[in-house]
Amino acid sequence: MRRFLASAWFPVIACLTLLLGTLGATLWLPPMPGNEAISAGGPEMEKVVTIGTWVLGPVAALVSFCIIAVFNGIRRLLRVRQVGLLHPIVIVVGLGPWLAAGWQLVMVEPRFTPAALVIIDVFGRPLLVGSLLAAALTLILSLGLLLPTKR
Amino acid sequence: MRRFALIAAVAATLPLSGCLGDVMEVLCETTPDSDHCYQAAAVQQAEPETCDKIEGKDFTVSNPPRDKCFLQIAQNTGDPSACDGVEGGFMSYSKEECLEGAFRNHSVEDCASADDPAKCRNAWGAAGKGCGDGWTWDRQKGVCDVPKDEPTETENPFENDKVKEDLKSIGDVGTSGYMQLLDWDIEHETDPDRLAGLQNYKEFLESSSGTLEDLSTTFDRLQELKKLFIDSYDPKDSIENMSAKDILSKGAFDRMKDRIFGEDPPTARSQAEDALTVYEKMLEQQKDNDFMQQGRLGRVSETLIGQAKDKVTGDLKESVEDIAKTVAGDAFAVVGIVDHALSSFQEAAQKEMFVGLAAAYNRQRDSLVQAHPDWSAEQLHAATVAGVKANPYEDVPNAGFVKFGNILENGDCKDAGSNPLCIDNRVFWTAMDKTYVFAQKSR
Repeated sequence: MRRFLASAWFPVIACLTLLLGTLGATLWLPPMPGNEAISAGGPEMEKVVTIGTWVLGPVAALVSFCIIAVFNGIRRLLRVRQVGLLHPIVIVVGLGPWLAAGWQLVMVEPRFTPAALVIIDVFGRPLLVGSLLAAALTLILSLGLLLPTKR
Repeated sequence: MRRFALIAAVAATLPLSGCLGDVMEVLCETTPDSDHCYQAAAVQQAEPETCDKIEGKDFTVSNPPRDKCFLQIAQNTGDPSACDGVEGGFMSYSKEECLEGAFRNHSVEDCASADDPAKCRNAWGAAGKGCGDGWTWDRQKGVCDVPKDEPTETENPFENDKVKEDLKSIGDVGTSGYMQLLDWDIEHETDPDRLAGLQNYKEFLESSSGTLEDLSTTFDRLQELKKLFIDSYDPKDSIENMSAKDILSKGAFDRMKDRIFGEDPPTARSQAEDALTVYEKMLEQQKDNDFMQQGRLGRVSETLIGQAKDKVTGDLKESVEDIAKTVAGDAFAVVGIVDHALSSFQEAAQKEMFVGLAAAYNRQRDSLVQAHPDWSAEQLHAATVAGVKANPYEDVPNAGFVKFGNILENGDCKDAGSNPLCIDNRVFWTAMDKTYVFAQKSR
């Protein structure tokens, strides 16, 4: 378990969860007023939003992976050895921007304008669901750190 | 390619975790229809200052997009000060329309979340809609202010030194000048609740001076009594000041679930059950209030008579409490029926009748709102209560609720004896009113 937590598979699985969680939420979350407001913007806007919803998951996962890679690179440069402990922290830092953005959009941002409704319901909700799933998976897998080591 | 760049730009701004309105404002500088873009950005941010960037290029005499911007901000936030920038004019929106939009489905308490709460409250106060709990309208300064405790004549050390010497018994109250000091306090009191306390205290002293003429007392004891009477009218813990929003607000997990998966639309049953939840919480608060009132009544007699437990003292205390209850009415009344009222509707078998009664209130109020859109909230509530009580057995048939006529026939719980089907009228209709108003604002 510790070898897995220290390996590159951990961030890969976290980012895949973010991607699949975001895509799955886009497809299966029940429609809200923002989803219905897309058509009011015209066919051009509808196409842009549809492409955006498909692109959101992969872009978020890729950006998170890059952030995690950068932080892991810094860790290696500084020769910090506590990989098993730091890896989950770095992964959560990589997911952090999407979690923050999703939370801000869904829980904080007021729903005053049609544009806000579209952004919150079409992009914000899947982003929040995907990042919450990825963060939860990271924390659950990190419980392996509490397992006793074999000596 | 351009489309991809736009998508990438939107996606790139999402991690900023900033306000959507700020992001929209940045994009407005490059869009062809900047007026409507700035309008959307200003409304989303709820910032009237951003509305000033709307030029109204397509209009000459007035600027309707700009005025609509202020109107929408006022409608969304309930802040009438957002209407200050409305110019009105031909084909545009007027300041009156803007103010009406601000007041509709909002209350002055919404000012707590405004950018400038003081300015918002002052706008409500200037429109004659009140300043909210804990604030009063200062006519001279034209602002909402926190009521200050002005010094009273009975607390004036120079005046009360003269009175102290002459005051030996209750019978001396009138001749010693204490009543004159009290009259000065009453004349200069502006807070209506404190005024009610002072007036009833004066009436208590006038009644006592005849019945308990020889009962010895001191100036300090009378000041303690005065404070007890004023506290009895303090509305701080009154159920009228309880908020249905606080009682019915959901926890963080439920709010997140509603935001992600959507909220189920309210049904007649869910709204009736919400009203009963508010009724239950208000009954519990009323129980605490009744307990405090009972304590105060005991302290009135102990302050005047002392704590001795002989028969003479007991009779005197009873006389004092009777005078206090006669004079002060509900302030010292202890009905003691809250426990009975609480248990009566919590029994599952009986609860359906209460749900039916609450649903009937909501149905009748909905129809009155449609029939009389110009009526105030107080008028609508009074008419609804009268309507529900007048025709309990003629409620809409097949509405899916158990008939509730028995509850109204049994009257108040204090008159119903051991019959469980009763309501506490003090609390029930207040709970229905507050829940209905809260539900309207939530829609």
